Amino acid sequence: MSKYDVFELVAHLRKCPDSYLKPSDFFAEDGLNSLALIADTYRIISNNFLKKDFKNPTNFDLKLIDDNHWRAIHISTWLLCHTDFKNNPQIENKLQKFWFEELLTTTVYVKYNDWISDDERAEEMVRLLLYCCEVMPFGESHNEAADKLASINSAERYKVLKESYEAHERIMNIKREMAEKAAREAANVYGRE
Amino acid sequence: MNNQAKIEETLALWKSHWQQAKLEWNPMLRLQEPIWCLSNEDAYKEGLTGSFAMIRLTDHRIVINLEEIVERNIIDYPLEVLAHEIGHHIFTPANLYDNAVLLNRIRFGLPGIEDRAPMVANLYADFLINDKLQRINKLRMSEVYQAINSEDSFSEFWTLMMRTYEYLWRLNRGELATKSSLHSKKIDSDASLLASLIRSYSKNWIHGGGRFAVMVYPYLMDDKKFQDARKKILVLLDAEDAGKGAMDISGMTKLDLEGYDEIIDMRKEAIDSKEENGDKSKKESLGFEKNDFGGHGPREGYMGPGNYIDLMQQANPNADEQRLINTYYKEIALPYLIDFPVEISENVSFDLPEGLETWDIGDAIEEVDWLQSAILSPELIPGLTTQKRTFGSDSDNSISKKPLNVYLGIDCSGSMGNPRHNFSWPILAATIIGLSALRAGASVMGCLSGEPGSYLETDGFITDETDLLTTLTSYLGTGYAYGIERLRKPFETKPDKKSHIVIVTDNDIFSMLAADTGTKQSNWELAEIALKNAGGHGTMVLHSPPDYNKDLVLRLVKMGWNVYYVTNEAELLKFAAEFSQQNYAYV
Repeated sequence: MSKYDVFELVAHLRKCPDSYLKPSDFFAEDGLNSLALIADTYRIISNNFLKKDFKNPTNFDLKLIDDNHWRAIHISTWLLCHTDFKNNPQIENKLQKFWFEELLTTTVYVKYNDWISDDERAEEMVRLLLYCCEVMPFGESHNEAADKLASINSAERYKVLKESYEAHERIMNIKREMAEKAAREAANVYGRE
Repeated sequence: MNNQAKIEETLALWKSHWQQAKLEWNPMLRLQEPIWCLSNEDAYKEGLTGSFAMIRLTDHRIVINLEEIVERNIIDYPLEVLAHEIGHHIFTPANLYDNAVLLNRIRFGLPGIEDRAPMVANLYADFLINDKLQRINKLRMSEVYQAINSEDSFSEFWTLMMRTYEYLWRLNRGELATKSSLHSKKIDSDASLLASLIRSYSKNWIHGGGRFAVMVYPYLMDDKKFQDARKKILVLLDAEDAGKGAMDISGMTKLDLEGYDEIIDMRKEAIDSKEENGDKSKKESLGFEKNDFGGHGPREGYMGPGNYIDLMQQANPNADEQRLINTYYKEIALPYLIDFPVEISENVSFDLPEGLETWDIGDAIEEVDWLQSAILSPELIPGLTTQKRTFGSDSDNSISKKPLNVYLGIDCSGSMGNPRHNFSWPILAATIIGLSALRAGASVMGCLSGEPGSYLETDGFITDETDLLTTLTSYLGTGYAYGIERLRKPFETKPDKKSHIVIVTDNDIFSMLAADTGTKQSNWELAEIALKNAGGHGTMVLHSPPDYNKDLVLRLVKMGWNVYYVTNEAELLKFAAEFSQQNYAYV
């Protein structure tokens, strides 16, 4: 088994149990205890189960995190349960950036369940995590990894799609107006007296 | 090794992979071995030009051009190419009907550039087949593309296609889309959406055609860019003319409402899902060609005749336009066909000679059949050699039914639309009545008349459906009304068989009735005589508000004509249905 094989990590991520999709206890009484989940993940990664101090945003900032973002964090903790990340203290310090900065940017464009149901979004989360952890995916060079992440980047894709859709719509509106005009003229020609 | 020897060797190699190629799909698959063409000339004779392989849905054959395969250096991929071609036969498009439905949906997504639909449909089918073969069957489809692709074969469109395969098969950038100068973020985004489309619709591929077309539309809308792209990918178009020479494909006139709803721009879908500014379940169809009134014809449920002809000629490039327009009106008329009216006639009984039996003393002497008795024996012995004939009767108590013939006169003057360009209610009504009559065993005479000017009629009362429909669906566009003079030929004298006369026209018919004929007989008189000779059944369908020209209408009624008003052409359908019911349902 190769370490940090993207496809294997994607396969693992897509097996995420439903219990990880629950809302955070910041939003629902019977929700997941998000901070406990994060703490447990830190412990698994660092292989230090007595650890009590974790790098988290302040309580004030945590309360600003929306439901979609929390659920994405829950899902990512499942991904981090993969054996490739266990007992891997060198990435411990990188997780805060992944959870509270990079995921924050992408969750604006990705619904939490897409991280599991959509192959490409699953790959995006895996690559994003590896990028934040400064880990090279198996069998890929730095440039290849960067290109692949860039080519499935949700934020970038959203921006490009919006631009190209709007440009396309402008053309289609003109065509539609021309077609309607031609149809009106045809109706006048062929209409009965 | 010379080229011919290499082709022969390739033939042997490829033949040996045929069984395995079938196994890639189904061990039970029964499909004839491909037609192996050893030269471009042979391939041309089979209709294969431009590409190295093609399929024919008409006879379920695959044609392989081995000379082209050698030239393109794809000798080592027999399994991939053959399995791909088989895929067209059993996966997509698989049959003529599905091919036509897919083409129709793709046409929805290519407004104004519908002529590009066969190419787009071919590429869409290629994606579905190749993805299955590469990802599930583990065939080397990507290597086939690598072998075919050359630097100068790339256009923006082809880069999109190749980038899509790269996304589908998780290949590195540039493995297939080798011309990096054409790469762009726009292509990447579109390719990523296309890849997800191909995956999502692999099981229900017919539902993804519209979305696929909308996605590739921007890359094909420019004529020059399209021509350029087409030239370069011609080699891959193996199913574009798959339906060439096919028989009629029925069931295509109805508007494909489901297809309309699937004309969705995935770019917009992707944007909307991020912005959360709409009801997700209510996806907005672009419905480019869907006007506010829906389609054409009854319940606005049918596509227009022009669109139908275009579509069917894409499904079968050899399709005859006249045959298509006949099929179009016939298909729409079919639900309205009924048994045609019949005439009750008294049966005449005949005695029919049935056999011989012995004449005995006591039978009437006139019953003796002297000839048969003499044939039996030259010596006549009463009661022994004398014969008498027995007779049977053909009479029974059942009522025999004879349908009336019908004469259909259609006003085809300048005010009438061309039924090939726009849906024509008068032609539909005439088709319903005419086909009902033929179905019941009657003969029909059809006449288009736009006079003064020209007319077109069948050769008397006929029973040939094609001739009738061909006449009815033609177009004149001359004169101002139906020419009453046209009634002279069939009804100047009493025809052998009673006939109903139906004339579909408008108020201008009164000008025609009053027009100077240049003879002693006026058109009014001719109309009266024709009606009497026809057998007394005559209907004038007037596209006119009731009470208009009241006195003249009264004069027609007094002659025995039924006058049926329609205020809009759609009412002609109601007339065609009521016509049969009111006049003949009692029989």
